[in-house]
Amino acid sequence: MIANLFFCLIASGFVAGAAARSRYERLWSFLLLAFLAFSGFYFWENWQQGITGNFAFHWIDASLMQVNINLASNTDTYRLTAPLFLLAGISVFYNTFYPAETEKLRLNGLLLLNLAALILLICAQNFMQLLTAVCIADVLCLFMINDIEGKRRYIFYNLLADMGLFTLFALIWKQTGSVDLAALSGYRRLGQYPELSVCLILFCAFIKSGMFLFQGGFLSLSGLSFNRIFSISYGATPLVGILLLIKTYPLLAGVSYASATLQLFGALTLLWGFFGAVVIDNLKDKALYFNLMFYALMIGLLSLGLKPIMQILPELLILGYMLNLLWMMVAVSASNEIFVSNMGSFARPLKAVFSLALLLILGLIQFLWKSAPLAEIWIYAFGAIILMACAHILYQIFLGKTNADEHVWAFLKNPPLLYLLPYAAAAAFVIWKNDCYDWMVGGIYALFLVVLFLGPLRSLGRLYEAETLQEADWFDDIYETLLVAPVKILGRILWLTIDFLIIERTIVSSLSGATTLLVRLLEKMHTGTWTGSLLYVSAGLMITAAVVYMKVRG
Amino acid sequence: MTSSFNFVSTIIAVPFIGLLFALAAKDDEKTRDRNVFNVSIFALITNLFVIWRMFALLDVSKPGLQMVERYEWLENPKISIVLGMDVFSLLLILAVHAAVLIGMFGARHNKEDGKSLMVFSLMFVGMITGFFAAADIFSFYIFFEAMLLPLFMIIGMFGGIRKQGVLARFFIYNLLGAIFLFFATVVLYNYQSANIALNEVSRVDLNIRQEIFVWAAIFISFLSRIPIWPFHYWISSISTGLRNPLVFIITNIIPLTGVYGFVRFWPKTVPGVLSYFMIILEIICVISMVFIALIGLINKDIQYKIFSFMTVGYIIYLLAAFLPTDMVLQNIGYSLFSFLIIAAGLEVLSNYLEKQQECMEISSAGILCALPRASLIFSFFVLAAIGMPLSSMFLNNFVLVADLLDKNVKMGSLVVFSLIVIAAALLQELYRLKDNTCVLPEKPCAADISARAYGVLLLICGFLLLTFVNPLWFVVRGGKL
Repeated sequence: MIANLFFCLIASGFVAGAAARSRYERLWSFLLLAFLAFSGFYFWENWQQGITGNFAFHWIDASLMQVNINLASNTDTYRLTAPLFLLAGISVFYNTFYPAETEKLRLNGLLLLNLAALILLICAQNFMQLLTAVCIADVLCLFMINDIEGKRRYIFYNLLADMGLFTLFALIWKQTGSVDLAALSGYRRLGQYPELSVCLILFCAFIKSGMFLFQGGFLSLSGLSFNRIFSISYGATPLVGILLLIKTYPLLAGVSYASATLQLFGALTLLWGFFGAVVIDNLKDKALYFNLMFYALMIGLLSLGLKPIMQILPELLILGYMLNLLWMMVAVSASNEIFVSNMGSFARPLKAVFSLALLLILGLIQFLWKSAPLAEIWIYAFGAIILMACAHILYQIFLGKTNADEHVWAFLKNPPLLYLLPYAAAAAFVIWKNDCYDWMVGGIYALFLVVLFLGPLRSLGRLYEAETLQEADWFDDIYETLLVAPVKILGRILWLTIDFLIIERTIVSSLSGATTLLVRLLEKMHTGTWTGSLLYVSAGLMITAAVVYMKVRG
Repeated sequence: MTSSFNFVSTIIAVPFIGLLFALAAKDDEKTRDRNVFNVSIFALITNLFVIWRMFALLDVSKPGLQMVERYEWLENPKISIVLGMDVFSLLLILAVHAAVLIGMFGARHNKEDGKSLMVFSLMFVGMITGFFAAADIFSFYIFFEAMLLPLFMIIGMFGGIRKQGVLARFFIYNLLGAIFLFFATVVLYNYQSANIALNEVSRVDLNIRQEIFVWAAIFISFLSRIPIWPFHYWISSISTGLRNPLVFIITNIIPLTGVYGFVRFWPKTVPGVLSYFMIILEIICVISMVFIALIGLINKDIQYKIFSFMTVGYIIYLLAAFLPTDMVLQNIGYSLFSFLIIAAGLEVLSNYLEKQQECMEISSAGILCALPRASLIFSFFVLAAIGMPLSSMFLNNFVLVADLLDKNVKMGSLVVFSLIVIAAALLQELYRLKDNTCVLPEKPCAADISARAYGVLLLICGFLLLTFVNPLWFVVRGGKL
């Protein structure tokens, strides 16, 4: 089943790419949606019926290495693929109807191909398939980013991550003699480097998922439109980081510091995400900081083992995605205004959006409460922080004093039903799915509403005026100063000293000078006079004498 | 493998026959360039078909040279010319043909005496094919030296080298290298009183002084071809000045001959005297690689960046060639195959962009924003060059890096570092060319590549993708690798 889906996705992705910019782009997009709906239904039906199957394509069949491309359908692959499939479907839907998106079909095609790459990653049972899937997902994501600065940062960050993975798997393959992921669990023998390998894999995954210290590539997505931000955040490279950690978990489990590192980076990212979500004015940046918080929770959950993350990952992705959609609807309703400092008191004109936000928060609280037994500390910490941040931002957008300009205010209206209805359905689905009506849920929701309406953090709104804070890019500046600049300076010094000073000015010039001197000397000697001839003969005799002397001495 | 048809000598002869036809092509103002271009392309494509047929006949699983052909040349001293072929050599020949073909397409609009350029290019292809087919030390030496003639003419006449010193340096370096190989060949012949097969060189029983002399001479001769410190300067100073893609490609194929020489001469079990050279050479290789990668990063000239990319690649292949396994050799072949095609593609496109920039008097920064076709192809080549899964380089470099890491983690780490730096250099260039913030609306736009060129380049991209999916897809018959 998964294999059929995989090939269909590739075919439809290429067809969409080929049909991009055609006259009937909207029609093609509808066809794509219909295809996704049909495939989704087929997928769901197979999953429910528990249809499993193996598909293996013999990719490399050499004595050096045997690699199969596995696309097995089993409970795990269904479980991990299902939310990605759903999110890809929603992305295609919103891309099709989002007016700011100019390359709808091309983006949708890329999304489908990206989904195929993620399926390849989820089904991977060997390094080569894993590495190939990761790299393909990277390339596809690069094409989804249509902002040059975002592209630049994304590719440099991910290049490091991919080369790290490349090195890591090459090392492990050579040391274990196997490309199977199963070999990771035994990778702790004498002469092997499990600590170094875990360090590398965490480094790569943290870069991909935008963890604290490595968030530059992730946050640079703020130059994109909202639809691309949420499509990439929850369906492309950042998610690849998490899937990578899930696939290589046997390696992490064998090293003692892995769990502590995951916890540390998860906690730092969570705090950093909260800080950014509260302090930064731009709604796109805020959306990305919220996404960072969701990824921080995933990393934190991974520190507790595979069970918690595997159980709550699907819903976590959907909720994070819906929060992004909420910010998009706010911006669309406010004539694409993206600065929160220029909003306020939108609750009355945007009743529907506000109601949906409250509905989503209820679903989020239910979900967190229901999931709490799996990972109490992480869920509580995440819940407290994200609800606080949501309350603060919703207060600034929907309540409080308005700073919106006349134009925005005049055209402020709820987005079309095409946006609202699927969103409402999804929120209702989340609430229905969690089916959790505990009194504590009610209490937390009431507390949230109190915080929302009182706005205790409203004084932080002043930070939006601090330009240095809004435009600060501390980590990239640090990397530029500590890593990139020294490498460039070293290159320049080497160039100047070795190429010019040593080779050009010293070796070549000396040889050239010596040859010129010898030629001049010989020219001076070769004058046709008796003295010149005598000098020539003497030089010849001296050379002969030296050769004879060396021969005699042996 | 026995065959009644002399395939090996045929693939050497076809470029020379093409050369004769090109010389005889109608020489009027109107049709000269097109005729010569068509004849040259036809000759190379014909050879590609012959090579494809040879792939079908080669037994991939069989070690050693196949399709061996022997020609008695001299009775006294007794010298025979022996030619043979294996998958590795044939892959390199195919790659060189493909790269030169791409270069010819890139240089087809060059009005400056295209006839001579095509004629010398065909001569070069014939010589280098002979070099890869050589199975004995004499024929190896002859082709090693003979390819300098067309090379010198091509660089001297069409390289646009302004400084005579650069050209002289190039000639001296290469000639000295060839002379060293000549000395080694003479000593070996004198000692053995017979022509020696390439794989037998390391087994010749020399005394310690002769051994040191012979191996030092062989090392220097090959190193003079590879841009390894301090020999790198001739090729780097030439590469930055070249404005003709075909000349650049041919010049940058030369280091391949040095790498190939090491591959062919390097014994599987290193004799005692070689181990000293070996350590020094590895250290020099790694230092040169890091050094050239770093200079590639800071240098703003795209030619230099492509040169750095090729140099780093060649040095990795050289380091891998020192590893004592046969499978690594096959991987070097498959990787080099894509590597040369990617480098040729990058060079042709960057040259096209440079010409557009000069023609329209615009800045090269952001030039790709207005050229969607060129942008797509250029991005593809850059991504393939940095090791994304778009060509056989991805898989084969994985194997090579794994072996290098396994041999020495520190050396392997420096190799990876160099790969990262050179990838950053290429990406830096790509995003400079795509930087839409540098585009001024009032400036005219450059013209995108023609539909025909786009089609050809797309075909090459598809071909590279095929090599990723199955590096051996073109082998019709044969055993398992």
